[in-house]
Amino acid sequence: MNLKPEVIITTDRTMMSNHHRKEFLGFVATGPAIGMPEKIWLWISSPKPKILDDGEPLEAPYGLRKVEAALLKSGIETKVVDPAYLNHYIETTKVLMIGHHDFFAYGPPSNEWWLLTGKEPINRISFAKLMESQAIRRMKKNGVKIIVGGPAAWQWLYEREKWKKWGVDSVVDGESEKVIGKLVERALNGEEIPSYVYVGIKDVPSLEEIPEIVKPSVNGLVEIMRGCPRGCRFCSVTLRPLRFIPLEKIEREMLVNVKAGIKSGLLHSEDVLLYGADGVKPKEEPIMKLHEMALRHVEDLGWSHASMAAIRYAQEKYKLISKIMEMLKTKQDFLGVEVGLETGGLELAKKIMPAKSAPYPVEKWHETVEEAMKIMHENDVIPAVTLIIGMPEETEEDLLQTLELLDKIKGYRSLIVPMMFVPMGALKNKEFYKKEMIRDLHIQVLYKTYRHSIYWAKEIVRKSYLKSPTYLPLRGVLEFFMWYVENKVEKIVKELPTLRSA
Amino acid sequence: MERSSEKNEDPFRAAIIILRDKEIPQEIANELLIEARRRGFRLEVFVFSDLDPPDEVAILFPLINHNHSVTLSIITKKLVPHIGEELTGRGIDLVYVEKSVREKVRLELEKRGLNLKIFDGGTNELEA
Repeated sequence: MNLKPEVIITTDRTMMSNHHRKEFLGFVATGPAIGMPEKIWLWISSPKPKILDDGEPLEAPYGLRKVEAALLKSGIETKVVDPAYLNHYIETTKVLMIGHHDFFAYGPPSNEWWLLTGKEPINRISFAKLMESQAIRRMKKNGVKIIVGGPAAWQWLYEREKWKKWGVDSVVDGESEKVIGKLVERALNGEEIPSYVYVGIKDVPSLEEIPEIVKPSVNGLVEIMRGCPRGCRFCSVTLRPLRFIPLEKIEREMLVNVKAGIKSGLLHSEDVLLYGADGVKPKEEPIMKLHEMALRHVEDLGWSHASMAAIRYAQEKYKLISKIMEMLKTKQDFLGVEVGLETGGLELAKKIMPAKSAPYPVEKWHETVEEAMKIMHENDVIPAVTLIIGMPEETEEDLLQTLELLDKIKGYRSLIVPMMFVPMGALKNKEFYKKEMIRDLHIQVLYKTYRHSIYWAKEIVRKSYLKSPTYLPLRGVLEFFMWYVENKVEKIVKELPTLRSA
Repeated sequence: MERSSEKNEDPFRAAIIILRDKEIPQEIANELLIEARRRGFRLEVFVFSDLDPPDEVAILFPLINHNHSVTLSIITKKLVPHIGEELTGRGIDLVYVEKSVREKVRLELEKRGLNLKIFDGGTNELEA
């Protein structure tokens, strides 16, 4: 194999990291450096990964690994390269591919930290540094074609100046496995390539067409399904067809990671409990088989996402959360997962996420959230709960109901991450949430979530997330950060009449 | 048996000739998407304008923002005098020409037997 392939895949430091093996710490890069120098902030969120031969990282973001696998399957030699080593490839590269989940910090929660602090988030700064690095500028001078893509591809449409300035040749939006080979081949042959590609249903890969990763992914992340049947209007994932990745395929990808020495596993899905489900009703057998298989190979396991309704249903019907945790607790103390609450407003829920609470009626959304939070608390599942404010059609009543719901769940161990509305999915033609749209009730929601999260974060960091002595320095820095934020926020609160009584 | 959507694997190909400060109207975006769905959910659009890339992409916002299911490829090109030559042989199904584009260009395209449709591009708020 050619040691220096003509096609190189990379991303910036905030993405090319294992985040100290704590996926959630990666989110620190979505904010600006607060109370400490940028370098320390970056070290917390995104330490440099272990590098193998000539700039190749031991582990790389799963999306980049999928693109790598798709290109190799098309017979195109390629390599994922850490951004610090791109200068080794200036003279040999013909096509540079760059992936990201938030190129310009327009996604949640980056846009929220940006709006609240007025400072550019680190992920945006880091990405700009990569694009303006000497290595990429020299590659561009040599005529290298730059192709960008990933879940944040849409952001380039709003940054056309940078698109032009950095010489990006093509933006690919959507599941690219079926189209990327042809596109890169054309770029390698010096043929005309499209400036923008959106992958529609006809070109979405089937299960057989999704290639398996051939090299390890960050923190052992493996995809277990694609798409989601809930159809929430703010989400782009629901626009994709639902596909369950066969167990043997998941196992082979896990083994790629394990053989490379990555002993952790992270199951990726929009709703892990819907793996092999009957519509929106989780089934016991596929979930148990999935976890039994995973635990044969890894030392600890995480979930990317789950839903409140699936958690409630799985526990009420099969005691499934307890059964899974019983298995997991032979190896770990807790399970981390991201769970969407999105709104407490029932009318808004009916409009934008009518199936989010299914199989329970949307009118029972508060009850479902409370039940799910209780189940997770009792079983040591620690959720990062997302909440969206500023959605189109949101009313004061919706925000008041959200405040009520936040009160109902305050006793349950969790982090609540409020996010500003970003136009995606079926709502992609709507307007971004902007500073001038902030209302008093938004501030109250933000403050309530802050108080909830800071209270529980202290316990989570100390007793679960960074309990091991290995994490002592990191824990120290994070505890300092929380102390700093608390002081700052309390000062602001004294000046804000809206919050004095909150 | 072959599914109806797979009968023609060729995408629907359209060219749009437009000058700066203009945008395609929503009805043209909808028309393109309808044609693309009929032709197997693939659409290739060549945008010829006096803008530098990638600003031509913004001209198609009404199309991009309303598309959820069609594979869309946008190829951006500089509006050149020999446009007819550029368009011939690409299998273009329909050429949309914005009404402020010079008559000479229209005549050249007609001469080459291309299927033309004239439209009013209004003002692109993003560019104005």
